[in-house]
Amino acid sequence: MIAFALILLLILMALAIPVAASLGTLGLLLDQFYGFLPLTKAAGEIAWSSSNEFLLVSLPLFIMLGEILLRSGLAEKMYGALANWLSWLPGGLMHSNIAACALFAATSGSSVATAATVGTVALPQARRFGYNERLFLGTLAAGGTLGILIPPSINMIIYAVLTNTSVPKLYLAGIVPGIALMALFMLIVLAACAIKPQWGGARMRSTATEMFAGLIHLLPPVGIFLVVVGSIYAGIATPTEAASLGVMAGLLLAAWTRRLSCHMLKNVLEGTMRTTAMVMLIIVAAYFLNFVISAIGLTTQLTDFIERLGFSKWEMLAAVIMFYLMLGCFMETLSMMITTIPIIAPVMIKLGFDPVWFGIVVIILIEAALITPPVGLNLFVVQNLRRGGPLHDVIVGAAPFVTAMLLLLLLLALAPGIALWLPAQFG
Amino acid sequence: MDTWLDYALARARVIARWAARAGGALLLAGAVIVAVDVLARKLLNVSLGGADELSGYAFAIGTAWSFAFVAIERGNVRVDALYMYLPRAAAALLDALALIALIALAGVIAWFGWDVLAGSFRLGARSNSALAVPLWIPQAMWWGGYAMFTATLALLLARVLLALVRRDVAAVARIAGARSTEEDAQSEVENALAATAVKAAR
Repeated sequence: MIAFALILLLILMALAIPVAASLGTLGLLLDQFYGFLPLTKAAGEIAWSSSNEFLLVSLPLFIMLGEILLRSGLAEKMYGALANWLSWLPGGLMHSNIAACALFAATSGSSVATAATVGTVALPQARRFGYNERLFLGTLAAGGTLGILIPPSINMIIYAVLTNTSVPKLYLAGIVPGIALMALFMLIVLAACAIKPQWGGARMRSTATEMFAGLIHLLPPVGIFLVVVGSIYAGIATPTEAASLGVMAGLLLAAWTRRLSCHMLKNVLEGTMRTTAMVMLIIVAAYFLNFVISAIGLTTQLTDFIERLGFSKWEMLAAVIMFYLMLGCFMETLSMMITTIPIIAPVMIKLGFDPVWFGIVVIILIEAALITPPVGLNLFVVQNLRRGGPLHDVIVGAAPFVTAMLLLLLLLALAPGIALWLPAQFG
Repeated sequence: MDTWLDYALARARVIARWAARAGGALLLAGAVIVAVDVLARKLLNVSLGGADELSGYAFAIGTAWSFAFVAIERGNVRVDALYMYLPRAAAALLDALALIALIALAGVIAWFGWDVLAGSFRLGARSNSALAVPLWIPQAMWWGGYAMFTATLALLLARVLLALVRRDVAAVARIAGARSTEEDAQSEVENALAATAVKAAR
């Protein structure tokens, strides 16, 4: 049954059936073959109840916040300010790409939005200053993935929903690893440009006045961060409420920069719903599939199968990491999380891993999945922002940054405190 | 036949776009209610109550109304690792198959979603909260979205099948093909131009 389901899923996906429809069709077929009761009847109820869950409402709101910030002009100013501070380093603007992604990640819960926003601002610079285009594209695709590790984070919310873990704890746990990963990314750029100086593009020097005057442009992202993340720790808001406050703050910011208009709002709403509907169709289909596979006993078969392997705690962790790295190459990340977490997380927690710690591990693996071909959403986002050229460039450029993620996973395994220290401070 | 279908599709495209915008506006309204509720609770110590429930309905309805838009814009994620190497004719067949699979998913949800709606209406079910919303009202609006989604997909499939019968693979790609890189790059250029226009207007 396990093999049949897996092969069927692979065939459906390979035939370019939309991911949501693949999951849905697999659910329908498994019900046909193995269901004792007509499980499909529950599809309506599942679709309704999964699509008005309050915690999930934060998902489109974070997407909307991203759409607003993209059009608010915040990223351009912020990018310019960071470039003044970082472009003297070997690798120049590539460091600003990474830092801008990290800072934008502190306002955005989505890696795709982070890559898209910073990419829109940064890409025109790549050719102008003669950077190695591949590495430049790679910093954007990989830097963008920080969006889900540095809070707020849509994927952490989904992990929290699936495992009953606290969102505020996950958010805190993501901060130190997020900063560490940013630093590792920058080290990679430094190393690459030390070996091949011609990759680093033309250097720019900024005056001290420019550097300090620019700092004011970092205030808006810091302000948004305080609203959407700070409000949770101040005990004012739940994650969904914080997201709503963030949307309001984003609109105020857009009004302040005079970007708010009917036309802009129309585009924001359209962009938000395009992404939301695309993601929610997958989530609804995955909820349905989860329901079917647990009803026909496939979930227990899978967990039994995993337990029968008799792996030790650390062997199991290694196996899970391998599994996600491979699956991440072929599967869209949200559907991957929704289909696998309910099975894998309980096993890992039973083996003695901390649920918050494991959540961070999963998020880093999801980040890797976002930039590993053939299916890596961030690769496509960055590719779409260019005006042509092969996707191959982005894939090659992002590859070195996957090693940084693996290194961070190793560090996390050796010193779980990297993730758990900060949440412990807040009790 | 094809002029009639093309006319219907053009209409569906406009309707789907406005439905998605309306859905987004509904979601935004939900966000405003939640934000006002938080601020009122913290600053004035008054709770409006029910904000979470209403925003949940806005989310469900807004999303359902946007599915047709994503379908007609060919925005559903497809794994094109193999697809992009196929000859156009084979890809066209897969495009039709993709639509059929989407119809299966949307149709099943719409079909059994109707039972949910009809059940709530028959039993006079109300939400388990202070608002005690008659559940059939948000459910009917939600169901309408899935009905529109299914109908739009059926229209797309009809047009694609007609094109397949005529061996017009270019039309299939235009209506239901997986989005190609060039197309995405093109729409991105348009976006960039729009952004520059905003700046110039300033």
